[in-house]
Amino acid sequence: MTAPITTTDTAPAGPAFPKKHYLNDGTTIRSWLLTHDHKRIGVMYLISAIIALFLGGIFAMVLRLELLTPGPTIIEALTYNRMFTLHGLVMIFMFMIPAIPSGFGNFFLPIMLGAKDVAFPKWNLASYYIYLAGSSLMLWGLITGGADTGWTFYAPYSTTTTTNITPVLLGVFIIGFSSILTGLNFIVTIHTLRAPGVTWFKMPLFVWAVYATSIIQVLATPVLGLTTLLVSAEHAFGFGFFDPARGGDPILFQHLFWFYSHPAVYIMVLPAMGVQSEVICAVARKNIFGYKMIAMSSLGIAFVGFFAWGHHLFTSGQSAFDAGAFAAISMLVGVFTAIKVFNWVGTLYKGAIAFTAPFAYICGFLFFLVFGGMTGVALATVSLDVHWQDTYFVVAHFHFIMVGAVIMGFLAALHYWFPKMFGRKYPENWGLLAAGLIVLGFNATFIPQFLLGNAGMPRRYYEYPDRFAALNVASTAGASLLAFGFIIIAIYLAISLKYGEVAGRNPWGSRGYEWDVPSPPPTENFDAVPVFTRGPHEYQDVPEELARVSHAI
Amino acid sequence: MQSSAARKMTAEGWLEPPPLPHHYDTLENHQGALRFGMWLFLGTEVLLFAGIFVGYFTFRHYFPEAFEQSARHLSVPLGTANTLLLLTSSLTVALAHYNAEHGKNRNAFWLLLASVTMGAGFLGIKAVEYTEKFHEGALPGKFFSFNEITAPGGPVFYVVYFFSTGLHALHVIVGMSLLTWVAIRCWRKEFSPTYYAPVENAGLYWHLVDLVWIFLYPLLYLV
Amino acid sequence: MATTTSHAAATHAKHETGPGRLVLNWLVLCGLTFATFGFSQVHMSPSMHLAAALSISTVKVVLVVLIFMHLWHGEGINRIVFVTSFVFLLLLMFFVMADAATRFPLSNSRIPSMPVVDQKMMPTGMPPGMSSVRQGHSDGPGASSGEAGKK
Repeated sequence: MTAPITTTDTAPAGPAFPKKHYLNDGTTIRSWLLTHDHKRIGVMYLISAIIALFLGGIFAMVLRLELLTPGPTIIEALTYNRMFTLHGLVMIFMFMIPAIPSGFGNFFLPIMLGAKDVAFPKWNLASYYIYLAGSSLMLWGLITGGADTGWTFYAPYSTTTTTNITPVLLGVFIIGFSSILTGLNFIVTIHTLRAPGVTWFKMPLFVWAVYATSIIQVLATPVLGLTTLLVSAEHAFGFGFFDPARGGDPILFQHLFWFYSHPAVYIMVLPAMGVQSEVICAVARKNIFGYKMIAMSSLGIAFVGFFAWGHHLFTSGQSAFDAGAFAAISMLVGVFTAIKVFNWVGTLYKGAIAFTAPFAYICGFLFFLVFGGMTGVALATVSLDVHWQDTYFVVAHFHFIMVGAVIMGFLAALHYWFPKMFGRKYPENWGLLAAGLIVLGFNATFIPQFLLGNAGMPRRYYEYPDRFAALNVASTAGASLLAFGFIIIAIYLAISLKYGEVAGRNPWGSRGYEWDVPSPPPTENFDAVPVFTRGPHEYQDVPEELARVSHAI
Repeated sequence: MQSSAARKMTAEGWLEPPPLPHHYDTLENHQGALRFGMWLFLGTEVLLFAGIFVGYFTFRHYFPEAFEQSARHLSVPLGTANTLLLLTSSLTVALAHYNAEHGKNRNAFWLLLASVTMGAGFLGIKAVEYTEKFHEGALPGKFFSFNEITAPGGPVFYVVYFFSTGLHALHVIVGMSLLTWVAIRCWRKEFSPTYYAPVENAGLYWHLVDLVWIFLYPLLYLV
Repeated sequence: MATTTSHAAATHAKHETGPGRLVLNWLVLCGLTFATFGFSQVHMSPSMHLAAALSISTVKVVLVVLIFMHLWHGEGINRIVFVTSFVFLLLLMFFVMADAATRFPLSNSRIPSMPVVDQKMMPTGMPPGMSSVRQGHSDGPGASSGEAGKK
């Protein structure tokens, strides 16, 4: 890698890397493994989440390679079932749920509130180890003859399968605890540790998003815990809670499972929306349009998201009354999302936009959230869902949100906050190239899947009729492009950790509170209790800072 | 979770409060945060038991006669005794909290010990009931062989019974462990009018265990 | 806010519930327990039994929460947390019960299971091109009726 490039000559001398910060405050392994510092815990979560992302991605590539040809290609049927179960479980529980809230949330929540740490730092560390323990148990179960039920564990197959499902279920149960503890910690932090001047409506929108996410985590995850326990018990002891032959009710399983798993998707998307609000102000250099509406709509999504789970049961034998109620309420979530989308566009309007990698990702986020969301409202229409249920249409819909929105949000956060967390900039040209590859690859992967689903190709199928071959090949080609993009990002970010240009305190010229502290921040975050005199995301009405603002190259 | 060794005994007869964590400004705020965190955790426990209550009501709707018959075969005296045991242990825990809040650590110790003993009594009675069920063949799912339940759905009732009371008993054990640990700290005179949060929080958890049983008792034994 | 929490915590400390109130609460709870038992002995319809039992239990829970758990004098946020968790419990219960109550009757749980279908009327063989798919139950009706149907 070449020597760091300096900025233009009208700028003052390059920023100095702080002497003492949270990364070099204790360099032994012990100081990391037993840390109470929320920043270190956030970094450890991020590293684990990124490893999980690549692991889940490998499973996805195996699936897509298998689907290159209509018949068997590289693996056999049972392995294929295990692969999509692995892909789903690893991606959802090891990456999507913890990545933004436990990774970036842990790092930035206290700083954004002017606090020195989260409410319960030891429980924070515990939640990370619980996450590791649960993930290890789950992976071990999946490797030693693991589950082939899909990540949704539908009974009665999950209770009668001969595969090694018990450690997988217990692993998920344990990871759930980690999620609950993180959410609990964040809620208490937001209520009790705000610095003077940070009233509820002076909190950054990322904090509002994490707050709404934490509420969902605390309320919904216990039901998943109980459900996994019930399935494990029934699998081990033949209890018959969900077995029709013993008088059980398989639809009861689906109710209990989706009561968590539908709000879970809002756990995944709300933090990404919070990132969107933060980054969009910084790239447009404008106040957020409609701060209160965005803050309230985060809570609205969290609330209404709990009332919508039955849309996963439309074709399962649920009553018509329930189906109708759930359909109507599911569409209501679109209202809150639309409020946010209009406000973000309103923020961009007449902004001074610099086309950087974070901006590319938030553009992707905006487009894919809208299209994914609209297909979601379409799927909420019961009569249409009868045709689309369990086809690739549904797969494409949720990947548009999971990858197109959430992972774009994750990548935007990663690039936007990389200079703050590690004190160095990434190379912007490579950032833009990778963003282009990812957006292109994403479209090529998942748009064919909408067409496949509408044409009738079922999901989780190992073989398919010849007429679906062309679209499947296109989807696999797109997936390869997507994978390539991720690999490029991993490489240049890893290199920039050591050789990137020194970033200084505020390379983006952002008005977020976290940009007031040095990059990387000191362990204590603040020397004295900070007093924030400006609002969050305030670009107009406040005089420009004296320090020169420089873009990342 | 601070060691009591480093803290000095005050003139009033209790240890001084533990050092304040660096990110809190007052001990009062710290205690308020601990209390709030415990209430949030109790909220999660309510939702954990929610699922099994949903199961109870669903299967009661499908198999009303079996539920009625099975309830008649549960021992109401034992169930009532258990209810009274838990209610009384809740009283002693609340009294222990009051005493700790006034620095009367030894009183709190004996009250907590009483609560733990009553919890053990609860578990003992449950063990007696479970043994009885085992002998009757009144067991869940595929182990069911209790001829006196003639209506369809007997196995399902016992799944609900064993799972709900089993999960509850697990929470009783956890609660007893928490109370024991806090009782040991009372013996060490750690609590004072400015610092009593662990007693309060352990007490809150125990009260929740009681709350769940207040609903389980009539639903399983009486109706 | 830091200041509001300390104010609320101070309020909490001042209005404490004395031992007298706690013992009185306990007596009322024991009385309600006996009332629950008493109601269960009276001759009523099953749904009345359930309603009575649930009502008394609710009163008991409210008493334990307000007095033993000090929510009567406690901070508002703790009250909101507890009530919210109950609201979501009711939400889960409402929709699942509504489903069980309004479902197409033949898809409800029952024992014995669906009536056994006459073997000869089962379709024979598997659709073309699907023979390579792994079979879950090799001893199901489809396999054995294959022979019966061919005759």
